[in-house]
Amino acid sequence: MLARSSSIVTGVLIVVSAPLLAISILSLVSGVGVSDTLYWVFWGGFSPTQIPEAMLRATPILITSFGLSLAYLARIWNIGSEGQILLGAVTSAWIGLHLGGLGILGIIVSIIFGGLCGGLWALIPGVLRVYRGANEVFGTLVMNYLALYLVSYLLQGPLRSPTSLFPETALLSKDLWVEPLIPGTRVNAFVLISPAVIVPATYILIARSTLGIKLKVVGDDVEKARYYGVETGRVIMITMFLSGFLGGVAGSSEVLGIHHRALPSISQGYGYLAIPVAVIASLEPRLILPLSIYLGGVVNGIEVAQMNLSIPSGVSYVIQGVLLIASLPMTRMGRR
Amino acid sequence: MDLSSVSSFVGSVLAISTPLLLVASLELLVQRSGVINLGVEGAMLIGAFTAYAVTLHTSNPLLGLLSAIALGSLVSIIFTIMTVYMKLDQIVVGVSISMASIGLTSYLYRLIAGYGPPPKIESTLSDIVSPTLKSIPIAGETIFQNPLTPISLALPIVSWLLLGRSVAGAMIKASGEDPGRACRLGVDVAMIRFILLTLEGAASGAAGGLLSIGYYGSFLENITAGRGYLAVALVILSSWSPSKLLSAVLIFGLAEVAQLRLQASGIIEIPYQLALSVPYILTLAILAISGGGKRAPRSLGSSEYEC
Repeated sequence: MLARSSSIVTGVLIVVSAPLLAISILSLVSGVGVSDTLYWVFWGGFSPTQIPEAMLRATPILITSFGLSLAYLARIWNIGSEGQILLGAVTSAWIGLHLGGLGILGIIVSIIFGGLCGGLWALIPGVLRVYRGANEVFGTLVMNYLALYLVSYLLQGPLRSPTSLFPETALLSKDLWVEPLIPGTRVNAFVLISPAVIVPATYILIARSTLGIKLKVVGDDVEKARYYGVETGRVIMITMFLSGFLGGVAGSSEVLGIHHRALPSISQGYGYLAIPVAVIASLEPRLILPLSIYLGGVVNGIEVAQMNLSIPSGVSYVIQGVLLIASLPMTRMGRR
Repeated sequence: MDLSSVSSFVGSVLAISTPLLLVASLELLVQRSGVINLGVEGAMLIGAFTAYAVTLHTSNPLLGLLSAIALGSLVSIIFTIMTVYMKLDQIVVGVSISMASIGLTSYLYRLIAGYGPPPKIESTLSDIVSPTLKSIPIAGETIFQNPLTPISLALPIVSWLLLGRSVAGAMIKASGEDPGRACRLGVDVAMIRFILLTLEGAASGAAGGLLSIGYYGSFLENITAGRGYLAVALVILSSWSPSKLLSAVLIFGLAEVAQLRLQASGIIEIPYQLALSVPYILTLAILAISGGGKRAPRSLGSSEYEC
């Protein structure tokens, strides 16, 4: 028990400090003072006026990491969320373009299709893992790049709006827009509903359900799980689909709630940022919300810092990579 | 087809095969020793960027290549520390290193190049091949088109000799089959893996450098575009045999050149995104066909062993 709690503390420390450390080093390289940078990161991330934007960015991270945390509980390392989010977003927008006038029903259908597409995209490496023994980390990574090219093709070709200067779809009909609930901000229903649903759901599924126990058994020892009669292949495919589905829903929420169309930059690395959150959430589900908000804030703060100081863009990619490396040791922590 | 168009065709095939052979030949040895290294994509990227940055500042492609080799090795050493010594999951570490490298190189590239057109380097890698070699008919524009192509063609042969005909080869294979037993018999498994991985990092750095200062004359974001991952997949496809690996890479090179030429001549028209996806699609297809691979070294991918 002690080992588990100390590894959670270490994990949280890593996730909290790694992005700050990385941005500090990068700003030094760019010749910008570290204290200036950190000031803008914190101001841009966590000052009262910026909190709504931070929550906006936290939402896709939260939705995605919920699905991932279940997969990671079973030690199924889906790292393909970025691609699943992108395809979910594009599918959701494409379906949405045909659903104008249906209002809330159209919104629901669009979300479901976004989720299905993300889920099926994740299921491909899942099936390869179960039936062909292909490593799912490698598989989901490759699928990320394929998603990137596919989305780029769709947005420049068949799905491109004829009237737009950029590779993006046409705007959805207004009745499919999930409008801001708080005036003056972009905070929409997704931002408020997802924590209300996901936070208890993560806790119950991981800490208090038989599914959680099954997943844990598969994660601890596949052979033992088989011995106990858990159909491991099915568990792997279901968790892959589910985590992909939630990635797709996250993409859909960006389309319906913020951009009202699909565009290539719709995911700001949310699929990668969700990975460390999910690793920790699979050990301690109650941390899923604070960590999502923290990373959402940091990402927003880094954008603000970049705009105000002469730091080249692309910092967020470095942060994603650093967080990925930093969260690695955590994949071995807590259990075994 | 006349002789000169044949030699230009062969030259193009070798140009595409060279970076893949450099990386894959060493990845084959590394995998035979029991380690799967997906960090090669990252080592290639770092190599490509380093070679470009150094050549841009010094106008000396040889210095650029050597720096790429040095930093490529460094990336591999980081991988080695995390997997061989800290015993973290090899695939997860490799993927993370590659992902972080995309971010880091894109960032540093923007830092030196800004957002304008990429500054081109003045002289490329092929300029450091001696003019005598380049003036040899046919061989000059195929095998000696750049300093790395002859090395890359020799590497599979060297690996084949090493694995089949030497004590070191036997030790490498023992580390990959049963590292615990090899260790108990006095083989320094960790050292073998360390040496092979460092060499692989050097080769990957050089391969990346070839892309930037050999072929493109500048750097691009994600310039390697999955070639490192493809090299790893080709090793699996060739069931860990150097001769099969050589043919697999050459067949890929042939197909790629044929595709590029057909497209350039307008006979076939495919979206550029599909052309860019080819290495990734192939990688996934190879994973699907070969799966875990029945003939894989028995302890491939697992860092834990008891001595």
